[in-house]
Amino acid sequence: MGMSEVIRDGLAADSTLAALLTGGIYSYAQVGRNGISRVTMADAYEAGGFLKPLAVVKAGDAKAVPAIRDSESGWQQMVEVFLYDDGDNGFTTITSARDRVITLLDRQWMSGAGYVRRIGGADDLRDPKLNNAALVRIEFEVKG
Amino acid sequence: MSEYKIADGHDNGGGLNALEALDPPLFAAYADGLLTEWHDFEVREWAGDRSLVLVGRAWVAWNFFRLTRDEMAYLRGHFGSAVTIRTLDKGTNAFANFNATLVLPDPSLGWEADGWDEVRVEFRDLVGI
Repeated sequence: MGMSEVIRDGLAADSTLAALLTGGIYSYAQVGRNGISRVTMADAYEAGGFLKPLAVVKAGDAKAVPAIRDSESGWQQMVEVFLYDDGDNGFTTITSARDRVITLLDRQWMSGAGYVRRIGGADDLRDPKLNNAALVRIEFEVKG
Repeated sequence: MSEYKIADGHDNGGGLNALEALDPPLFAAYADGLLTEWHDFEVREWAGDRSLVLVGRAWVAWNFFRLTRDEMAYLRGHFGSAVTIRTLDKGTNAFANFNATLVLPDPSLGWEADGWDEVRVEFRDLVGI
């Protein structure tokens, strides 16, 4: 299982977050080659075709770093969590989801992943490919 | 189960517990071990014949990348200065039990977000048992 899947499963297990992100929590691989769409992710959309609040977890660059254990080489990998909502819904729901994701992941040890720490992100974004959906991004580093 | 173990008091090999078993879920992040520094001596001094003399007993430092408030409180509340530990002797490349003097870090250093980052716990005056 890849890093994005491990983080996704950790987030999906939280009922508070699941109640906010009614469109689901996905790994980057689940989104498919063409991105979020009603064709590939029907559960992410309402019956009327409007995007529900959802999250996509994307693993990024990995590199060697000083070890944190005697028995293994150290490594570090970047992980981004993208929170989307319909463009007309504003940022309230995904801002609340952002805060919950940070609570669940920041400075936490996640079995199967490593030590997760928030290192950045951005609020008040729009995704023009999703009809200017509201977007919040959170950046984490995972060390193991 | 971690090979890095600790017990209160000297000569307490029978009371050794792995870190993650002390009070679950405390120290769960260290079930796969941690990073240690092994030192064969306290200091090295030049003798009159220009040879280096190793002074003092071996000691080891356990490096925790993160300790929560509860984990630090557990260490402070459950262990005195005299402890028994099981740690990796990097001179012999084998785990062994030692009597040791526990030196906890200065709590004013490394505090961030309800815990401490990059915590170094020292075990001085190692005597193999």
